[in-house]
Amino acid sequence: MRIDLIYPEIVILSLALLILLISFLRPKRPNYLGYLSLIGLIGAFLTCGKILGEESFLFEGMFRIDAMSSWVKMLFLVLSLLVTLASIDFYLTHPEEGGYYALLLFSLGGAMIMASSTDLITLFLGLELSTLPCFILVSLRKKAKSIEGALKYFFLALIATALFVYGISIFYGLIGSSNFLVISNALKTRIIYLPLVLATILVTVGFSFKMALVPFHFWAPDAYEGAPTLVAAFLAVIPKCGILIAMVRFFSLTLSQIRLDWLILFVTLSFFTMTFGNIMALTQDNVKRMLAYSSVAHSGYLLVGLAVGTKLAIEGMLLYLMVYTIANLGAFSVIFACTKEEKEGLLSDFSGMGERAPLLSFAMTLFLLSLVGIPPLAGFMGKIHLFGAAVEAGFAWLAVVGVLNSVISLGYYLKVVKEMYFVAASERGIIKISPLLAVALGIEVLAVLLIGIYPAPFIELAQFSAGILPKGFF
Amino acid sequence: MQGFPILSFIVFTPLIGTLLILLIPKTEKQSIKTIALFAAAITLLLSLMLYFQFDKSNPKIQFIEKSPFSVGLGIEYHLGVDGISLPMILLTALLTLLAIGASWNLENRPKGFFAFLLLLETGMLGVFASLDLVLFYVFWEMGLVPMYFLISIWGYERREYAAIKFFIYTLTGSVVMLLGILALYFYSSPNTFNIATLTKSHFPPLFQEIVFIALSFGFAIKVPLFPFHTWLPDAHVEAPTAGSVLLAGILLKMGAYGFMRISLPILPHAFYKFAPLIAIPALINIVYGAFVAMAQTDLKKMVAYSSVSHMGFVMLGMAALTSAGINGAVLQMFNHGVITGMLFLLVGLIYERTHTREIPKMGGLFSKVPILAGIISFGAFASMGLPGLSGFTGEFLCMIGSFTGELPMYKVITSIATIGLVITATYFLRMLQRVVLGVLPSSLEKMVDLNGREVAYLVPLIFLIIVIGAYPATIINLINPASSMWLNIMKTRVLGG
Repeated sequence: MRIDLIYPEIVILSLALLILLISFLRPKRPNYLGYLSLIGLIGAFLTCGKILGEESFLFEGMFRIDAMSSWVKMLFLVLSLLVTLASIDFYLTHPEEGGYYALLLFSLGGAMIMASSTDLITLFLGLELSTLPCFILVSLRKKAKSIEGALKYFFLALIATALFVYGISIFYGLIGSSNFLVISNALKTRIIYLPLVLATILVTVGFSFKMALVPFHFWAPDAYEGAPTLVAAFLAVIPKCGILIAMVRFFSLTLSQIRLDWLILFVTLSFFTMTFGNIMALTQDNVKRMLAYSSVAHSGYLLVGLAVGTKLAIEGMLLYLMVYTIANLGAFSVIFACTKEEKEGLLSDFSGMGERAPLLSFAMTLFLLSLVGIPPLAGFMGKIHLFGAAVEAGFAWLAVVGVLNSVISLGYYLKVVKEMYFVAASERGIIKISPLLAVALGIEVLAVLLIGIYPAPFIELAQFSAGILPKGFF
Repeated sequence: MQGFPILSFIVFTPLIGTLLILLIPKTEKQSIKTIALFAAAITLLLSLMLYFQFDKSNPKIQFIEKSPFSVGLGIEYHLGVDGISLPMILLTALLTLLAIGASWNLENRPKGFFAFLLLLETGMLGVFASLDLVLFYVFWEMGLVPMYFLISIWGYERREYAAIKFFIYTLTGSVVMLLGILALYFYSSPNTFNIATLTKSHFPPLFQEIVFIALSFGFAIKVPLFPFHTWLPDAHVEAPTAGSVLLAGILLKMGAYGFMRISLPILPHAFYKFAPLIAIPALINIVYGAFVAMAQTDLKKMVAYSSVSHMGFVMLGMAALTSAGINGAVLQMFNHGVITGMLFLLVGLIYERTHTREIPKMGGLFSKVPILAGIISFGAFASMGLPGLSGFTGEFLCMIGSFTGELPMYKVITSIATIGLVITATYFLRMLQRVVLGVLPSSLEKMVDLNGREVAYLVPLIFLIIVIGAYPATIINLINPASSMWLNIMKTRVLGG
């Protein structure tokens, strides 16, 4: 077995343990664990870049390295890098410094495992590893709201896990294996229809809970609102996208034989998730909550890609994943920069930001407009690719729903812009941010502009990683 | 000048101006204004160079610029102009320069204002120069954000409501239009966004009709065609003067231009079939717009509704599918830009002096400020279509064109449309009677007349109105080859082919 193929996971998980160890042994602060975590992430990124393009099964077919997994892991690592960059100065003297980074890394490791899993058991491991640390991360601030959010998240995730495991057990009972390859081969010959559909539904519900798809999204707004802002940012991108990639592997590749059955499930989920998420976001006056609903809505857009299912659509989905995660992370980072974890992130906390922090407000405007999909920003390229694929495959109505939803989303994103530029500031004073946070924001702004203006290399990346599709596992 | 990418320079000079302005500290107000003025002036000079180098007898697209590589997703950087887009580019470059001149005394955050104004100019120019559908869409949307900010920061009392209404309304239209564009891409073989290639492909009629409806949704909101016009009065009235000038002068034309550049050549069957369905709302625009304008007491609102009415003529001329009609439509687009642009500038000038736009609160301006009052009268006469001034030529051609349209219903429609002309004359004359003539109210005793700068930016418009009114061939010679060619191609493909 080629151990070098799982170096990224090894680096991340052992780094997490190391950080925990250091913070046990050296309770005095500062420990500069953020920098350590930064170095580890860069190391993992490089090892991941090295194996980009390799294709192999590991652990008896339970773990898959291919273009999609490597590329998505690199994306995750970059996103975690940006989160870490934004965190360093704030958490340097924070009592939970060690725990914070360790838990982030564990969750990242779980998402990376999910992206590679080709066995329901590995998938389950990855899923739990990526969500369990999040409960603690959400309650890190130890405020009533945070505890409430974490508890809600925790209990609903428990139910989801139970349903998911039940689904797995039915698959195992039916087919005698939990391996994706074996399942997909077995489906070609004999299908016991009803239990199979039941198992599929259970697994889907499990996924939907964890990804906060409507109507399984109730934990998300509370958890995001209660969580420290950067944790919310992390929550909205990394575990979510890990699940999405696992879903591509499980549904598009493994269950392709019964595509018509899960298709209807996903089309419905996607429709309600984007519409309901956007409509609920309109009524929020807490920006973190608003972005929570907005990220629910964006999961709906991403599901369009999964539901349409063509190679073009998966490509679009992967590109959208990239542009959504970067812009979303950017928006949360701006909230972090403006509120410094002291304020709740209400709309009124942003009044007059255009005067107090012109660059931050400019960045926020770019991120939000990119999330709407206004050209020439990255979100536009993502949307045109994703909805283009839907039109091409004959899902024009889903594309219509999608673009009209983008118009609805403009309504609430503009509320933030309006607050920043057109409402007089309630406080005085220029907002200062740490240089590392500024670097992170700078990278995000550049990415949003670059992908929007010259998307070709990024589209190639998405094509490259979606290249596994027509071939399946072989 | 072979190989000099003049179109790219025209489109991106304002953008460079925007970036330069962003680099300057906001306290340097004078240099910000100077950069904006220079960027706009260079753009106008380049557009004039383009005009003089343009081969007027050639109906084909000229000055084609194409990047050899794809930006991704089959999108290409592909620019070009023909006789339909060139007048629009000239108009854009001219009106933006004048709008900057008109905003010279702006004190409230000039940095953002001029940066947005130039960004908007790039968007507008890009729309008229793109030959790639996605590029077209990108430029089309690029205008939205700056206009949103222009209205909502520098506008009047109800600016935020108007800005968000404008943004959401037009975005709704354009996303549906985007789906139409995507459908064109996926159903063309080989898949392409290239407008020139798409005009050669033959789509099945049903497909054409569906795409036509999707595209028209975006275009009609922009024009705006009845019943999608409700955003217009709000946006125009609340926008700052420069914003109103560009909205009425250019942004509305983008909708009509979209019909001409994309729907007519690419979807001839659908266009032919649906043309009567465009003519009817166009007629409603003309008559209804005029009646509503007559009911206004707010000077700016009156001009805004007169725009609705005048854009109806553009759509009516186009829908008639005759050579005169289409020439008239493009000419009317140009003339309306010049005349309404001027009227909005004048309303802005009056507001600066009187701090009111209410017609009943004014009067007797001629005795106090003869130059301003004279130019207002001139603009009103041009807008109501006095023969000899440019407003007449465009509307007259549109009417002739639509009267000679193939279907008998066009004769009826044209006859009813003449009511619009009468109403227009009525409300403008009433306005003149109450604003320019009559007794000067005591509140306006201290009003001062136009200064040199203000006259300077009105003179080019006055000049154009007279020249085109006296000799419309200056513009028609530009339009005619291209519009006739497209009309012929369309007719042969629909009727005899």
